[in-house]
Amino acid sequence: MKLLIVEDEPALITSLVSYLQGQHYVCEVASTFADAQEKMLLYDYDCILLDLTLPGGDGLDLLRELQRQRKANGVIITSARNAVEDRITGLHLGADDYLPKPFYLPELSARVAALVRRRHYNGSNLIQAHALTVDVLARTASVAEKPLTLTRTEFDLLLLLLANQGRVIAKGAIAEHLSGDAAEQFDTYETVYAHVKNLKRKLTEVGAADYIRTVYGIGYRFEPGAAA
Amino acid sequence: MKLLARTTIIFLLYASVVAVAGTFVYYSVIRKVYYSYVDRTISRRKLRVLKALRLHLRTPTDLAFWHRLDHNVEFFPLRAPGPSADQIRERLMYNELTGRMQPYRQLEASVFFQGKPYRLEIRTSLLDSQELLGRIVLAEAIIFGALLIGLLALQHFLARRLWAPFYQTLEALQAYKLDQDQPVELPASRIPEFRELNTTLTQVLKRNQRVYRSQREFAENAAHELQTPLMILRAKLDLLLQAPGLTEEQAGHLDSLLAVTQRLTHLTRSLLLLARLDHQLFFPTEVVDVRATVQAQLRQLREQLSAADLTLETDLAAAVPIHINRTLLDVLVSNLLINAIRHNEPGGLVRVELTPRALTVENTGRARALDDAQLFTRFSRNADSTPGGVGLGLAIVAQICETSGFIVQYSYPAAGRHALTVLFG
Repeated sequence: MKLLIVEDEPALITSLVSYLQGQHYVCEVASTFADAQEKMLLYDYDCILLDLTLPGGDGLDLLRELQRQRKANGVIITSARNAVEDRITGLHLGADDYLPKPFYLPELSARVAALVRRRHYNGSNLIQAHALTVDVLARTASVAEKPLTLTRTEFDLLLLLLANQGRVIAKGAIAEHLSGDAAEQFDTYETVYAHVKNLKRKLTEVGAADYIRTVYGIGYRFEPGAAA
Repeated sequence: MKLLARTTIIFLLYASVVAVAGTFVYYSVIRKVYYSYVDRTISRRKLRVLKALRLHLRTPTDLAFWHRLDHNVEFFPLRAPGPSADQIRERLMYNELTGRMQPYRQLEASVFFQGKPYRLEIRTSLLDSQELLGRIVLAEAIIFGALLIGLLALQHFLARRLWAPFYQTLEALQAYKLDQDQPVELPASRIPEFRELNTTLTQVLKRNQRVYRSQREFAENAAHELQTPLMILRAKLDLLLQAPGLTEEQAGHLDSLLAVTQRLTHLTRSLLLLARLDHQLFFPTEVVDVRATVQAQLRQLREQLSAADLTLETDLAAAVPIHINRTLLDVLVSNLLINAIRHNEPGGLVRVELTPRALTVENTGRARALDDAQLFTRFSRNADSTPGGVGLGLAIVAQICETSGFIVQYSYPAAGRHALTVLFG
């Protein structure tokens, strides 16, 4: 999977590249408007992470250009401009998603995974991880043919974990993924603990006890089959 | 008293003083002119009488005869010659025509007739002339009065016309709000004073607006510029979490850093929202069902409610459509609910009541009424504040209510019960 990261902040570029490469994405970087424009026209990407405020131009103009060229790239806008108008304009211009800064890297990874999945939809949309099989469309999951009965929230949590396999996901990232903006107003993570506990219990019931590891109460790591 | 009324009154006072004094002065001037005319006439008559004495009169009987024909000429024989200079004076005399005493102007002169001294008296009645004088003064008074009234009316009318630009400026200033988007349009005027006033005012207002706006923009830009460093902070923390061989102690530090970053994120987002609410006057509105919004927000917070071990009571009207910006309503409802959850006590209660006119969110909490002046103030902190909050939730509620034309009220309906009510429209 090939990604184009359009971003002008060097410290952020290295972080994004480092994290996403760890999720087995091939990352290319464009840090100016002109650079991004050139790369977008010359190559095809599975997903473009697009910052809106760029040296040399507005990211929304790049979107317009993509639309004119009828390039079928997936686009996620990652912007510090959290204005509703920008969001609406961006989505109207063909962006697939809008992720306001600052976001958690696991959240970005989940969004990229969801976008890539949608674009490479081949009828089944199954995710395989060790013995775990997840059907994203049917919203069902099973471990070694044994079905898991998950609530909506637990299923969303599982998707976040799947998109960040082998990584430590901060509980704040999980809270935000599950409850959106409201999460940042609470400084307790009772709901995160409860959901992870329930998911763990259900996984244990079907013999996948060690899929989710707790990391010092700071977050969780999803590593199917690591112990095997 | 209005400026116009004041100038009119002062003008009126001055005009009546001039009118009264003017009438007297005019009367005396006319009188003087008239008397000197009468005196000249009477003196000319004396010359004619002297000529007659020399040429036509023969005997003293003629003198008496003349007097019988003309009562206004009379001769009195004197023993010795009188004073040589003529005397003119006013006197009263019986008038046969009117049968009353009348004022006369009389000239007395010493004359000689056939060598004997006589005193000649020539008179002229002032009756008609006094009437004339009265008429003249009356006419004068009427003209003066008409002039006065006319001037007053003209002054009033002109003042209104002349001051019109001033009143327009005043009206524009009264309608002016510091946070309005459009610059103030003051009327153009050909009068230099008004033009100068308007120019000065426009400059002052523009400067104020610029300062106000730059402050607002500063808050927004500051919050905005914070997003990127925060993003880097978050990303680096996410990467640090992945470091192999992370110890428990290090994880503890990271946990605190993540929590602080989260709070900073919330703070900057709240500031951005407030800044936008402050300077964006118009938010596109649509008809939104408050009931649906409340239910959606409650669904989102379901888990926080149960995590805090709170009981939820709802009493929602069937459908409450109102005109509002959808995003703002979401934030409003969400902030009210989150506030009720955050400041609750374990095992407490959150009660949401929606009527077609108002939304009330009530929660259990401290057994003491809160200071509602402080409640909606930005960053207001008191001893009861729950740690971890940024102190902007209710400030945002208040600002959204102001933007949307709602009223938000705090009440303390029962011991340990706090209620916030938003009245629509």
